Amino acid sequence: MKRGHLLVAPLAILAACGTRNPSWDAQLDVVGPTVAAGELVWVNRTEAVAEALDPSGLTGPVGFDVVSLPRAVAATPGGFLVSGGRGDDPQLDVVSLPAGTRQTLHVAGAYDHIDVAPDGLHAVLYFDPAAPPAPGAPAARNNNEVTVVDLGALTAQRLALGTESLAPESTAFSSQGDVAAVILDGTVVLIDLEQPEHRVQVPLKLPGGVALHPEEALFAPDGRYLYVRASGSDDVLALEVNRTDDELGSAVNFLFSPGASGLADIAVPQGPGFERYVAALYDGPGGATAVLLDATGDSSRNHTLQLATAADRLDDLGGGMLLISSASSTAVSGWEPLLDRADTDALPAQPVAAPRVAAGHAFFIHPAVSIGAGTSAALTSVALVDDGARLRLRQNPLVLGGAPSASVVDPATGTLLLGIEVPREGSAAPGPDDSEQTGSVVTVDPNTLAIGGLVLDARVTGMGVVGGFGFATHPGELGDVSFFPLDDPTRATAHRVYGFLAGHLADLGEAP
Amino acid sequence: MTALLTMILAAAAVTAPAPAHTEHWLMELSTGGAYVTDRSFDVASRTDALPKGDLRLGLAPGWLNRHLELDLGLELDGNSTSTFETWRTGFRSVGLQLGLRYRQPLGAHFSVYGRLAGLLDFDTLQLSTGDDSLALSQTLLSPGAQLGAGVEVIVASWDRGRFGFNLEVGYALHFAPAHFDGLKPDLDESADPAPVAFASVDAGKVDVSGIRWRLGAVLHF
Repeated sequence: MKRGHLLVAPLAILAACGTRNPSWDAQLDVVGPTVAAGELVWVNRTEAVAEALDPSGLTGPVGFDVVSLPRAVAATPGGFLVSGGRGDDPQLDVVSLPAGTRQTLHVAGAYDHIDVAPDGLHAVLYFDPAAPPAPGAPAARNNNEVTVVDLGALTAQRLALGTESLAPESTAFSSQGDVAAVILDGTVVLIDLEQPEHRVQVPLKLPGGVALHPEEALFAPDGRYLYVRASGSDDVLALEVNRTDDELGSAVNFLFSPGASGLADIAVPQGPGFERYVAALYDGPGGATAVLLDATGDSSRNHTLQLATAADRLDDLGGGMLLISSASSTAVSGWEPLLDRADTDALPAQPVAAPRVAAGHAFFIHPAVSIGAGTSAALTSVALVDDGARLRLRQNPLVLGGAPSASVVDPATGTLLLGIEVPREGSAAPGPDDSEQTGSVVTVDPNTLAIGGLVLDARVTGMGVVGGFGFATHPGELGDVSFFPLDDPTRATAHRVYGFLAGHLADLGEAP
Repeated sequence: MTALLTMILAAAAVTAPAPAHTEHWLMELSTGGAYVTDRSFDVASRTDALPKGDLRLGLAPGWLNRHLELDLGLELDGNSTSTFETWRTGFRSVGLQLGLRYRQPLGAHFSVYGRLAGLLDFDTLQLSTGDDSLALSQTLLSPGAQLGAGVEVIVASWDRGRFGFNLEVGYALHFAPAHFDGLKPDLDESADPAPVAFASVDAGKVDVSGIRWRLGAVLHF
């Protein structure tokens, strides 16, 4: 070796030694956004860092260390939860916003799912059988378990369900937040969240022993019934929930409508008069049938609507009215079941997706509607109008300047927000940028159909509403989102946070 | 390396006493690096190494002290790496150094010295995704001080000058980490049409204090 090499080599080795944590070189894995306590939260699972964005922009993005190897994120009224950790030390982080206070609970497993009760007082954690066990854990897991977390007392209780099913697939909560229904592939387990040791297992089996796979489960508004739609059955299963201080019991009613087949959807109408009802939509060979089924099985209280067209979707518009639509046709119907009134009409074109429903209105988006000699993307607002003598389905079409790439409805006002891709040239957006296209946000008032909105500086990939602000996410690996106030959506009032996934990375991260 | 140092010291010991220093200038061109162990530096580097290069102009005034030299340096360093497989993260710095060097000749061709310098670094953190999308960057002023010790070997002499090599090892301390709390895309916000206002991103504090070394060529004239 030459003398120069002798001199330089040790120094070069000295400088090169010390390498960064391998997580920096792993693929970026981000979960979000999650709307939590009026903020938007992303979790960088690669670096175990959460980033919270205040939509008002008064405070900049704030970063937090979270549990290592994070697996699931869920919002609570006061912040968010993150599950993860090594298999030999699984944890649940309870993070409050905006302070970012972090409390860590040791739980029985590194769970893959977190579902939070609507009152935010309890959470149910469970595994995804398709997910690999956490590092440090045995190579097999008992997926037939859940952990119930009391978020007030910060205690966790593991429950071995012991069902014949493989694993939980979802949970449903009563609106009171006192009962959780853990939906497994063939079983429903009802859990008293105040006393998790009180639970009842309801196998979903036909008399011949064939297990039914639940597709949808909805609680009655008063929590007295859990309605289940299962594949392979035309019956709606009504699980009566009997909760006392001493026990939790359940009985099952099989609800059906004679002659109706092809159960496609169920809905639980809200409002007076519907306390013991579930609406079911059957998509039979001769046309759809909608039935308002009495939960106790008293068929004399049922209400039925026979349609000549196919339908596979049922939405509650509120005010005792339901909307029936189809993914494969233009037919749309309004139904007021307790008064046995209905109206049917045809949309101008087949909708591209399920309607956005809020505040008594439904918005259907059409990728192409014939207009003159050409076609254009369009939007149809649908509402049911009681004009005294009859129920009338009112349609209001709107032509759009491009196909929406994202949409959301403000649940407070029913205002629809659409993200539409438009050419950058000639728009209010400056160039150059990464694309010749940019995003435009269009707001539609459901009552007046007044149009508002703004042009943003990048294409829109997702939309949402948080704390009086609308937000639009943009493509990009560094994190890119624009916020605008819902009551004044203009470029002057909007602000953009670009690169927020890099927030606090120099200070945080590198969890083992 | 031990053998090399032994040889240099032996050569210095047998040479004649060094001539008295008179007023003259020095120019150095060096390459080297920093050994930065602070975790924050991992944002921009796969290793703890920060490559450096510097150009240095010195003056041995003679009338001040025959051992003292004034030292003005321009130092450039930088590192860039991929992060999360898709990001390009880079840290670069342009630094000014004003220092004082105390040199002790050990013979005609060999000297050792100690150097104390004040640092004024302009540190830049940059993030991009390597494509045409916007890049984030911020430049900060980061003051500090550096203390080092070195050896110098003269390999050629002529009437009006001498040429040699030096090796210096020291430690640079930044008085505070560079807090990159205002990262934004570099766009003209006064353009027409103006872009939607950007909120800045706080990427945290990067501390590049650490061991420094440099190997340089020096010209005395």
